[in-house]
Amino acid sequence: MRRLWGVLLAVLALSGCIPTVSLNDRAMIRAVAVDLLEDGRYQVTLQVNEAADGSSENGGPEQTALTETGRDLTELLSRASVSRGKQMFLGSARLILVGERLAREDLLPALRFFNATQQVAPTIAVAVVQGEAGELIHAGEEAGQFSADGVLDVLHKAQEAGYAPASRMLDFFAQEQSQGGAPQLAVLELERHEPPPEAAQPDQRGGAGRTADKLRVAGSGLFRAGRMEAVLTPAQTRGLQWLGLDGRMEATPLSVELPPGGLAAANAYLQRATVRAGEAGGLPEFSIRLQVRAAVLELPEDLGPGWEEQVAALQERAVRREVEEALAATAGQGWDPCELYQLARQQAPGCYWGHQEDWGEQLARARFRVEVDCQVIHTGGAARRDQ
Amino acid sequence: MGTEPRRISGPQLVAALSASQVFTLFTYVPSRQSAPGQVTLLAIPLSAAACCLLAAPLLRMRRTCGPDLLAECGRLGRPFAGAAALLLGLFCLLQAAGGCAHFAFFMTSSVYQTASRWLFICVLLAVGGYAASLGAEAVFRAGSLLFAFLLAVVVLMLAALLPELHLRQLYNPLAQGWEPLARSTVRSAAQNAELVLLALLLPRCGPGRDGWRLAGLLGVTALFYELFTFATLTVLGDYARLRLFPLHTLATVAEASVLGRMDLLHIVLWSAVGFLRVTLYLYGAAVCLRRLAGRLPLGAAVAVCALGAGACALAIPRGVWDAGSPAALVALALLVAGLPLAVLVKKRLSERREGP
Repeated sequence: MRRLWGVLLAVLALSGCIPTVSLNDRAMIRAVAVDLLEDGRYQVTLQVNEAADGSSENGGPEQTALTETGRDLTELLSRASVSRGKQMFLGSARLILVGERLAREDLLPALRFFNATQQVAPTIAVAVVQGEAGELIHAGEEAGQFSADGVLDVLHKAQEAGYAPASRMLDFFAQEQSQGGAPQLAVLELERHEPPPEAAQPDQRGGAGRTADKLRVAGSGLFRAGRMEAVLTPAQTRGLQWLGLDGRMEATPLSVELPPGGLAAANAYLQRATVRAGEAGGLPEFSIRLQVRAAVLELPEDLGPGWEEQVAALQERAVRREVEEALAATAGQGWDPCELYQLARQQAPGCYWGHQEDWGEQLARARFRVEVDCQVIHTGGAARRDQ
Repeated sequence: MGTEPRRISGPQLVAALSASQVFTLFTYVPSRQSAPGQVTLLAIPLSAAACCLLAAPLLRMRRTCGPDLLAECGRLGRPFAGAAALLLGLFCLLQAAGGCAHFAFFMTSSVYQTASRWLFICVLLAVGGYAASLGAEAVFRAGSLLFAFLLAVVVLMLAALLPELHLRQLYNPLAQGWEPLARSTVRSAAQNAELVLLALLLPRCGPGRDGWRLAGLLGVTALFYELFTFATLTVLGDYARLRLFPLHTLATVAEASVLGRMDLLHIVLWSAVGFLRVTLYLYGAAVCLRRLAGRLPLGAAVAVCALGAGACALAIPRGVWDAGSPAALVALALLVAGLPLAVLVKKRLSERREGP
C-alpha cells in the first residue's frame, strides 16, 4: 500500500499538472530587432522559426520575419503572439539587435525587458545596428548570411580578430551596474549593394539566397547611463583588445610598411598581456606589457638578413600606437570600457577608494606606460629569407 | 510505518545535512545593501568557526551528560522538556515551511510563471512527508545519494565556468572596513540552521566522533558556499545584483559542449535539494512532536507536521524567507547552545549539591 502511494505521488509530480505547449504551437524567436520610432514608440522585428507543417521546401523549420509597433515590448510580443497564433518563445533567441536611434536615446528600458524575461539567456549577444535594426532581420529573409546564426558568425569572427568587444547582455549590465565601467556593444553596419541577378535566387537548400549586401562590424559603441555617446573605430576597438582583459582576441592581421617600400603582412597573436595598476602622486598609473607573436605571410622579395628584427620593431611601434590611441579615445575621455577600475581597486586601492564616484575624471588624468615585445615566428610553409 | 529509530552513519548524516544546507545558498538574493562577494568569501570561514564555538556546549553535553538532547532536557523537569521539544519542533516546522515557500517561489518565478504556489507546496510536502515517514535510515540514505549528485553537478558547473572567470573582480575584503565583514559573518552564521538538526539527530549516529561530524558539516558547507560565492563573484560580477536567483543565472551561463546550458540541471538540483530539506525538517519536527505527544506513530506525526508546515508556507508573504536574519541567529544560538548549556549547568549544580 505504501509503495502504491509512492507511485501515485510520483505520477502526480511527474506527469505534469501544469499546462504544456506543444512545439507546433510555439514560434521560436531566433533574433529580435528593436527600433525606436520618431513618435517614441518601439518597433520590434522578430526572426522566427516555426515548426514545419510540410509546406516548406526543405522540410525544416520555416524562417519568417514579423514586425509589430507599440508603446512597450510586453504588449508588442503579446500582439505578435496573437497575430501569429503561436506562443512566442524567447528561450532560443541568440541575438538582440538595437537600432541606432534607440541606442543613442536610451537602451536600458528595452534591455531591462529582456533581462527580466526568464527565457532569455544572460549570455545572449547584443549589437547596435547603424540605421534601423529591423532592416537586418528583413535582409535575413532574403539572404541566409543575415540570419541570426549568420550575424553571430560575423560578430564572433570580428571578436576573434579584435575588432568587436564581448557584446553580451551579461557584460553590458555588469559594467552598467559597476562603479566605473563603461558598457560597450559592437556596432554593425549593413552595406546595401545591388545583387547580381543569378545570386539573389533562393539556394538549393530551400533557404534564403545570398545577396551582394555586406554586413560589417563598424566598431564599438560606448554607453553612459544607457545612452550610446561615443563610437570607437574598429582599430580603436582592437587597441583595447590588445590589453587582453577580454580574452577573446585570437589571430589578428597586422601589416606594417617597410622603409624601402612594400608591406609586411602578418597574423599576430597576443601571447601575453600584463596590466599592472599603481599610483603616482595620488593618480593611477598603469603599466602595460604586451608580448605579441606574428607569423609573417607576405613580404617583399628583396629583404636582406636582419629583416625579422626590422619587421618586429615596426610591428611593436604599430601595436603601441594602436593601444595608445585607443586609450586616449577612451580613458583619456573618462571612459573605462576595459574595467581598469578593477585593477586599480585590486592593486592600487589608494587611488580608487574615495574616487569611485568620479573615477572617470581620475582615469582621464591617469598615466599609461605601454611596452610591446614583438617576435616574428615562422610558419611551416615559409622558407627562411636569410639562407 | 516504521517507528523504531534506526542507526545512520556519521558520513551519511554529514552528507545529507550538507546537501540540505546548500538549499539556503540557492535562495540567496543579492542586493545593494548586501555585503560584497569579496567580504562574503572571508566571512564564510569566520562564520563556520563561530558556529563551531556555538555548538561546543552541545558536544560537551553529549560527552559528559548523555547523547540525546531531548532526553537530557527531560532531566530538567517536564515543563522544561516540553518547552525544549516545542521550540525545537517549531524551528524545524518553520524551516520546512520556509523551504516549501521558497521552492514554490523559485518554481513560479523562474520555471512555471503561470502555475499556482500552493500546488508546489502541496506536492513537495506530500512527497517530503512520505519520505520522512519512512524513517531516518531511508531519508539519510537518499540524502547521501543526493549529495553525490550535488557534488557531480557542482564540479561539472564550475568546470564549465572556468573560461568565464575574471579574477580581477577580487580585492581586499577589508577595504571598506570591518563593519561589512561583521555583518556578513553574522548573516552566514545564521544560515547554519542544520546545526539544530545535527543536535536532534546526532543520537541516531551512536557515540564518538562528534567533533569530526560537526567539523565535516561546517567544513563541507563552507566549501560549497565558498565555491559558489567565488564563481558568482568572478563570473557574474555586478550583474548578480540584477538577478533574483544568481546561482540559477550562473547555471545558465555555464555551458558544457555536450550538455549545453546547465540551467535545467540546476532546476533538477533545486528540486532534489528542496525535497531533501523539507523531508529532513519534517522528520526533525516529527521527532519533537513524538516527544510531546507520547505514542504517536511516526507517520501520523509527520502528517501533522506537514499540515502545519503547509499552513505556515502559505502564510509566508511572497514566499520569501530570510534565512540570514539576526532573529534566525538568536533562535539558532538558543537551541544549539542555550539548551545544552542549561543541561550542563543543571548537571554541575546537582554535582555540587551532592558533594564529592
